[in-house]
Amino acid sequence: MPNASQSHGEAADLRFRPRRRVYLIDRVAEGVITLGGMGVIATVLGIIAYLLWVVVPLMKPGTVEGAGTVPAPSSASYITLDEYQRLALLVDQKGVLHAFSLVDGTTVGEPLDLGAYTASSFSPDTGVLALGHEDGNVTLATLDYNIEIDSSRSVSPQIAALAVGESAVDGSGVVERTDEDQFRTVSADVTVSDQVTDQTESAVPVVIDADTFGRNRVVAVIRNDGTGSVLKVTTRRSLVGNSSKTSVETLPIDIAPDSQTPGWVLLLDEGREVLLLWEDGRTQRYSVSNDAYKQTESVSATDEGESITRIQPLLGRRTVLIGTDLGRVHTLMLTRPDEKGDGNRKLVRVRTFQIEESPIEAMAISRRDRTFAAADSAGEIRIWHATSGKQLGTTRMPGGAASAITVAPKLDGFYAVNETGVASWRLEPGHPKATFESLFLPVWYEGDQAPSLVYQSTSADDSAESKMSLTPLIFGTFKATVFAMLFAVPVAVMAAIYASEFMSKSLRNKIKPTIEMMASLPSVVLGFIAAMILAPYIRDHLSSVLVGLVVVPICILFGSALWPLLGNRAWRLPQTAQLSVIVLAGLVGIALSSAAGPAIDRALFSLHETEEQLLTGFVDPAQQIPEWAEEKSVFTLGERTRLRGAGLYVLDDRVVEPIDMTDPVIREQFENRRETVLAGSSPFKFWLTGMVGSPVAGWVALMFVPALIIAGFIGSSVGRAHSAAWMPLVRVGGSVLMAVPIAYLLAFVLSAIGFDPRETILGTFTQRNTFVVGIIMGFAVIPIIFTISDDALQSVPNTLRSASLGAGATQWQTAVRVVLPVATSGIFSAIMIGLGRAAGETMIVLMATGNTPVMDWNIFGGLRTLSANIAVELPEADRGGTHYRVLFLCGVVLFVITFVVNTTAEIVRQHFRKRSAML
Amino acid sequence: MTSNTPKPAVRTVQDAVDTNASFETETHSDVADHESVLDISKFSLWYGQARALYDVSMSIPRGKVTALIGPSGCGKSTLLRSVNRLNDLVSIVRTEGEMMLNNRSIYDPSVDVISLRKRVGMVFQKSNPFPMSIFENVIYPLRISGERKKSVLKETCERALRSAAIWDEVKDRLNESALGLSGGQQQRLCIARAVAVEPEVLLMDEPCSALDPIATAKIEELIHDIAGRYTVLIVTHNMQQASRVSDFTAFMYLGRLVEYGTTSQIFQTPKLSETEQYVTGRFG
Repeated sequence: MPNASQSHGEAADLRFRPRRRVYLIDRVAEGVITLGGMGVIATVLGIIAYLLWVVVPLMKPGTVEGAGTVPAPSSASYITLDEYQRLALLVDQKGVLHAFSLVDGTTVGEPLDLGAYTASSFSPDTGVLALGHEDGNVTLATLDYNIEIDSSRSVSPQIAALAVGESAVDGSGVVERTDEDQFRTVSADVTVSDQVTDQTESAVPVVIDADTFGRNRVVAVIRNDGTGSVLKVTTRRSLVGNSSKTSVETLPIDIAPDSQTPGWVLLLDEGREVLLLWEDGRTQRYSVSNDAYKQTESVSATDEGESITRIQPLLGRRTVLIGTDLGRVHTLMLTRPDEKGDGNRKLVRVRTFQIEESPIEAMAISRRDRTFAAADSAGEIRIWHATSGKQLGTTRMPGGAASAITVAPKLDGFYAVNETGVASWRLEPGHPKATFESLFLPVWYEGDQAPSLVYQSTSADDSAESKMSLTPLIFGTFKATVFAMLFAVPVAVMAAIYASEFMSKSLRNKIKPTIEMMASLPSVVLGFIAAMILAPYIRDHLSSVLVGLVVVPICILFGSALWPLLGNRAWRLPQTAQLSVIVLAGLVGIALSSAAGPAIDRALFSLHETEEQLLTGFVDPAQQIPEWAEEKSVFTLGERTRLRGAGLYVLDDRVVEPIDMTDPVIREQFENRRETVLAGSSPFKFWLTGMVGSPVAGWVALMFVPALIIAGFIGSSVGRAHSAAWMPLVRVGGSVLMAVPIAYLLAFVLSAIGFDPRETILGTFTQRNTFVVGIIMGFAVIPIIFTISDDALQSVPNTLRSASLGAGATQWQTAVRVVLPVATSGIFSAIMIGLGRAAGETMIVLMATGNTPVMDWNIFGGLRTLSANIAVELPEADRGGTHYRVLFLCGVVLFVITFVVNTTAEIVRQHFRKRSAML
Repeated sequence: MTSNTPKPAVRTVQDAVDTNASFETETHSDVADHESVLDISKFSLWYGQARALYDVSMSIPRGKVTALIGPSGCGKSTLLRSVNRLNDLVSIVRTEGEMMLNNRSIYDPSVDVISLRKRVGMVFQKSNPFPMSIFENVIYPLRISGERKKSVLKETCERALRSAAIWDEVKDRLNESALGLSGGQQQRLCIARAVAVEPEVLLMDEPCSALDPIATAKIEELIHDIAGRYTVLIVTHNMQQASRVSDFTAFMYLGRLVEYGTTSQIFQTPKLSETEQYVTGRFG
């Protein structure tokens, strides 16, 4: 048939023409999809790689690179240099001060003879040099540098010939051409004071130490007659003219009479403490009192059989480096007064660094942080950071042991002197404070009683160090997550079960999208609500909110227990009205709790009059303090309870007793005061501070929910045979009534054992607290948990529900025994995904917590999470610095946490898929 | 068809459908000779506006197997699910008429649906064991009634599994997951679960439609065996199956019960031509 073949040909044509286009589209689509997919994978890997690239240098040691040797004008006791590392000042063993260029070793100017000395000390950070002379006098000199930048200077031909970057000695300084028309001259600025003496003593100084503290220079000196004294040298410049007046104030050091002359004397903590050290490691601490330095402590700075060879205070003079003959450097630290113990300061040995076996010959400190360099007699040099213990570099002195060593002011190099000259190294310190230990484990910070986990990225003053332990942040992240999940998981999962198993389909089709829409609320809006609305509301109505957490669910239970009575029997309401009844019951619960909250608060945490006196300040220091409490200033809750037994309280770390109120005038004052201070306030908040009240009341409040659960179990097993419509109502009512005595019983038992809830999850109330975060962040993750849980429940085949219902199970039995077990893993993965979301949540925690990196479980206290920390601090972090990289490390840790959580969720979900495939 | 049998009468159901009226069932007199366990009288059911059952009246004889046959959508499954009120779960369902199980009403407002369902066992089209052990599956109806005595549970389990002719196959693996059983075994397990509480009526909704011929044969044999001890109401699409397993057969069409009698009557001497056409495979 011609017709047919023709149409066949046409059809073939028609088929063929689109085919080429189809192939083209196919290829283009393949290309685009491949590009997109690969792009995404590459981007994700790239982000991880970038994060690691920023973080990894944190863990690396610094680099040390030799920078040549220049001849030294003489042997050296001390050496110091300017910040540009051009000019060095060197004090030799005869007390002569030499200045020379570090570029070529040329001497600059004339040597300055400060006189032969019997004792000497030098503080590199302040430049204070102290020399004790045979006649008993002390010379104080300050070694400093003048830096002049000069562009229009008439230069000598020699200087004019310099190329950019070259230096030469010219006159009294080292000149460097820093630019075509700019010269920088570094010259020595040495001021030598009149010789100071305390005038009463003329014995020969044996050991000496001096430094500048504020406007005073303080000298500690021990003489060969066994006496010691501290001289405070105050120089006052008159406002007019150039004259200055120096006054010396002397305080003796009461050295134990039979002790030998010490090997070293050291001023600590702005001269308030003096340390005497002997070669065998004996160390005595003397503290200033009214008229003398009295011995307060005696410790050993070294191990048995180990002798001290050198000592050097670290920057800030709170820690001493003890170099020993075994090649070790111990750090001996003076703690702050121990507020939790006897209130005293202590010398503690914190760390030990080891070079090799040879004795330590010289040590030098950084003027920026707690980095130090140590050299041994074999010529080995090491650089460490004293707090973190990180070794920044290691090198070897050419030509044997160094007699003096110094670290460049900018911590970018160091110099060592011996017979062959001055050897120099360039130093790239890297990130001295960052080690695995300092980032995650307890670190013993300067002044502390014990190692601690602290995050404090910027410190108030320079001598205090920044503390970058991530552990409080990880803890904060977990704390926020845990409290959010405690709120979100029950609500979301129960809502999902209700929606999936009990709600009518038409209502469910409306509710589910609504809840899913909640997920699209920006977290900054939630954070704003948390900080501006919820936090102040909870502050003002704390007791109502807490009571509501229990009362509203109970009222809802009552509502549903009322249903069979109302709906089916009395009024024959339609089934759809059940939800309205329950909602109404919930509203009644809210009204009830807001009314009853303050009343329950006052009833449970009622204040005794003596407690009210304490809170209004009508107390006096206690006349008789129990012996065990006499020395204490900080009291634990248990100790406070013990004191309360004796009618005593603690106010501002002091034991007080209520004053006698029999005088009507005082009583009237008290009544007025009570009216203004206490009226309308929540006794619960006072109780939370731990100042007043016994643990029992708190335990009753805390244990009410567990008691309710126990009572509910008992109630549900009673009267199973009765299926009367009023039975559920009786069960709910009976359980609630039964819960009260159970809660009291539990509370008395727990208090009797000695637990106080205020030591664990309760504590002083702050407005921006974890409770607020828990609620609002809970709201943020409820939609996601609800949706995924609901999907998991819906994916349970209906045949199972039919089978269960057909066998005579109730809807609840079907849900709990058949549907839930099948959906468990799906719900679990929903919870894990919610957990991952909560852990990474930033804005809510940023806005609703105080961002205080503390480590306690107090639900009414603040916290700081990893994510909030990054958001808060990244803008102020110096790009490429330690802080910057630590913040990136926060990101990596956060990534690891969410990765682990999500992976667990995914593994469980895979398992779930396999199982449900069998159904 | 032999010539001595009377020609089936021609009363078309279509007439009733066209007028949206109910249809008076052609009931063979033999049915009335048996004691009935379930009496359905003028039972109608609506899904929202759509009427699914039209004044169905029938009585199910005690201890016999009654098959419900008819083309798809004729309402046989709906009728079956009305007996244990599983249709209640669909919120738009409305019923009229009465059903009496052992002279106790099923649809009275005071009836506790849960205890009703315990008196009526049900086996579904697709086998639906719970993702639990075989043991837990069988005793599930007892568990939800709060039975805790180990001896009772064990005894019931064995008896039910023996009734369902699966005891010998699973007695060594009672604690293994029921999901590991074959399709036929799962269906017999479901029958065991249904008979565990000695129901007054056992409903079966096309219990063999998802099974292979060998498994089907076993189930049919099982139905045969338990007939006498239990009253079975079975929905089936398979005419041969109906003729093989049932004592009585009811033919339904478009929501009406058309003809009801002993199986031999329905298959050999149907009174109505539509029944004859259906059972001889000329439509449906």
